[in-house]
Amino acid sequence: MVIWTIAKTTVGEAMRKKVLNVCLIVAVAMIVLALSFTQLGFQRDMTIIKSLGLFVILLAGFIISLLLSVSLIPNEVDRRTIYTILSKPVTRYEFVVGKFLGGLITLFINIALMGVVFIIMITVKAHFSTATIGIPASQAGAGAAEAVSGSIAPQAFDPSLILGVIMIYFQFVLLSAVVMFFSVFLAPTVNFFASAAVYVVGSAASVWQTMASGSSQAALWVKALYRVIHTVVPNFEYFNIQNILIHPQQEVRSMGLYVTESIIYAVLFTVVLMTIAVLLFEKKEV
Amino acid sequence: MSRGKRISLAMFAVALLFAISALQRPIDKLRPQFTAESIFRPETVSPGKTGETSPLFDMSLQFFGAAAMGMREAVASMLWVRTDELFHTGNYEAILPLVRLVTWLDPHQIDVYSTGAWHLDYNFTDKDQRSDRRYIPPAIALMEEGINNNREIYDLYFDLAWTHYLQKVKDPRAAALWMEKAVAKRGMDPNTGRTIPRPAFVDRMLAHTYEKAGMFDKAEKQWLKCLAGSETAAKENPKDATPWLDVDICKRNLGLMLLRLAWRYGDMGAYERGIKVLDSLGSPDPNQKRALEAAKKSFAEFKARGTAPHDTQPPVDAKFQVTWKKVAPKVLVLEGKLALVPAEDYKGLASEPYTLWYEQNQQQPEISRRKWQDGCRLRILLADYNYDYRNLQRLNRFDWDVDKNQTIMMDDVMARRGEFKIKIDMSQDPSMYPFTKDRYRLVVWFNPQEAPEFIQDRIGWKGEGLTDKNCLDTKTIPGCRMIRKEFILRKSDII
Repeated sequence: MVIWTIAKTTVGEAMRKKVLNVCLIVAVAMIVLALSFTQLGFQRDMTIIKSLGLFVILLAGFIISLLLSVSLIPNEVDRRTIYTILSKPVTRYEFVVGKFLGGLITLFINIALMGVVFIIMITVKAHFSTATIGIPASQAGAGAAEAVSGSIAPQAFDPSLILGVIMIYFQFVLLSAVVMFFSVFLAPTVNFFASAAVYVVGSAASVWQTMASGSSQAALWVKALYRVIHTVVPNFEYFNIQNILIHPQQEVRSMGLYVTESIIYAVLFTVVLMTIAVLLFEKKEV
Repeated sequence: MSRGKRISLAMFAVALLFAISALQRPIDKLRPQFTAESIFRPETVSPGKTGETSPLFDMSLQFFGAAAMGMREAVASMLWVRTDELFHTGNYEAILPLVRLVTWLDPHQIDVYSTGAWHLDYNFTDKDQRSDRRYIPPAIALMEEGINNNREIYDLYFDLAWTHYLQKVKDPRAAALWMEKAVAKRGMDPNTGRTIPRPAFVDRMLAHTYEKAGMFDKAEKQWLKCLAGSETAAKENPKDATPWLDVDICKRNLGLMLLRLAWRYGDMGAYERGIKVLDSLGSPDPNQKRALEAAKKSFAEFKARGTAPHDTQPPVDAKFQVTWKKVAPKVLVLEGKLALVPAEDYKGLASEPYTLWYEQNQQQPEISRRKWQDGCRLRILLADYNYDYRNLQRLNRFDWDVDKNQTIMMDDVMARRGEFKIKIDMSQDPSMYPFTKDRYRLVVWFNPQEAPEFIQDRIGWKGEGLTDKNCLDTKTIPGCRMIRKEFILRKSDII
């Protein structure tokens, strides 16, 4: 109950932050503006619009989760409101978890809003479009275009995009946990860069994997280092399924299982980070 | 929080870390389909592409970083927009590196492979719009790479067959092989990407290609398959006009192919089947009705006489002659004669009651009456002596850095009224025609497989009704009788 009260207050405070609102408005505007892109034909346009739309949500989500989470605890300390809160029958772990939960709800509202706008826009565009399939007339050869091309009405609603938005959300749940973890012992500015660095390293997991296992000449210690990075650093790349969503012709052996396991991974890692954060905050002098 | 609770929590966190590590294994097992590893080092579906090294390490770090941070598709999309701009401003050279980058960043953008390969095949030209054939192997390699990365949909298989092998290389047998692969795949909804039935034209084009390659049994079977598919679709969606239209297209093409088999080669069984198929069309078009009645009448007459038509016999003598001369450095003039096809040769053909070409020509006033049925296109190749245009070089990996020392000029000329003449100016494009070798091969040929239907009505699909005292060639394309003349030139003959 206490956790919920703190979370609600945190959401109220966060939603009043102008910088986050500006981020949200810009992101929504960019998603809507992407629809004006109509120069390359339906399929190519959709590829571009979807990739840009998901990228905008990703970028806005990254900024919002970082800016939001980085200040959740330090703000209370700076404004000294933390003394008032902790003097009430509120334990430290309730305070940390409540703050974190409030951040997640705010993040959910923002990403959900962008996601809904994005999916509606895509659906509307597809509904009012006809797609040419086969070989474009310009490439078909004289008089052959009718024989090697045709047009179809594409399916308007693409439910897999919802999956993309959900995965982006869980990616930033994990990032928020990283930020919260750092925020109990790092200054906000240092935390900002440290968390961003963890995100970059964690987003490039397959690169490290390729570097380590792709070359037979890779030293043993390089491979060992990769294993350590792979386990200790949250793997944000698990949540990056844009390519599959934009080009769903790529068959995934078990998309449902993959998404479920990735979400469980995000939840477990978040619990670990938050547990450590709570333990550190217990000992922290405020 | 008590010390005991803190220790319990710490142990809980450590235990969870082990659980996470264990969970990563099944995720990683599913994950490889998304990783750079699998994207950049695909398995192969075509010969000659095994054991390639990963181009991953060739990528510039900026793109590599972008690719790694979930921006891969967005960066690829923006680069593709930029590519389109470059195309419209004619900056063709700059497009190829971008195509390479986009396909690395997003190997599932099939349009990039398709448009990039078409661009390589057609848009690097000399001042007379002759395309640079040195770019054909890179175009095919790019398409094969695209197929490797997008195996489950028909699009790129079909595009490779149509745009490259059929239209560019003019090799219907190779095209048929790739189209056979295309008809084993499904189509894709362009928005959601869900698999949908392949469009009907893919299957029909395989039948056309079999016919073009002279594989008539396979063509007939394929047409019947297309017809059955379209009829099923029409019954399932009786209100949708498209499948009914597909049924008509199949019947018309199958019927006409069968009649041609009869007219050209005397296959009376095909004649009967063809009439039956066209009869089932029930076309209200008066011209179609008249043509069908004429075919029925002709069939009945042949049957009553116990004979069969054979429009390709006796063979037409092409009386092919060709000479070449250098009129300036790197400028050649070729001229000659090709006696294909005199109008008189159409008199009395079994196809005539159906086409009425000869009859209508005879009804013209003497002055405008045509003496020739023009439509034969001769191909001309001037290339390094060791260049074999029938067996193109295979690249193990897409690389547009072509051999700048290689010379390949290919052009064509239409024979009109039995004659042809063409001036080939290679002097303005030294980079395309470097002439660095000592010996060259100048080949001029007429391939009946490339001829229009009205020419094939007389000489057959594969030149069965074609002969020539000096230049008949039956070896270059097995089973095909073509006209071919080859000259060996020295560098000094050209420069």
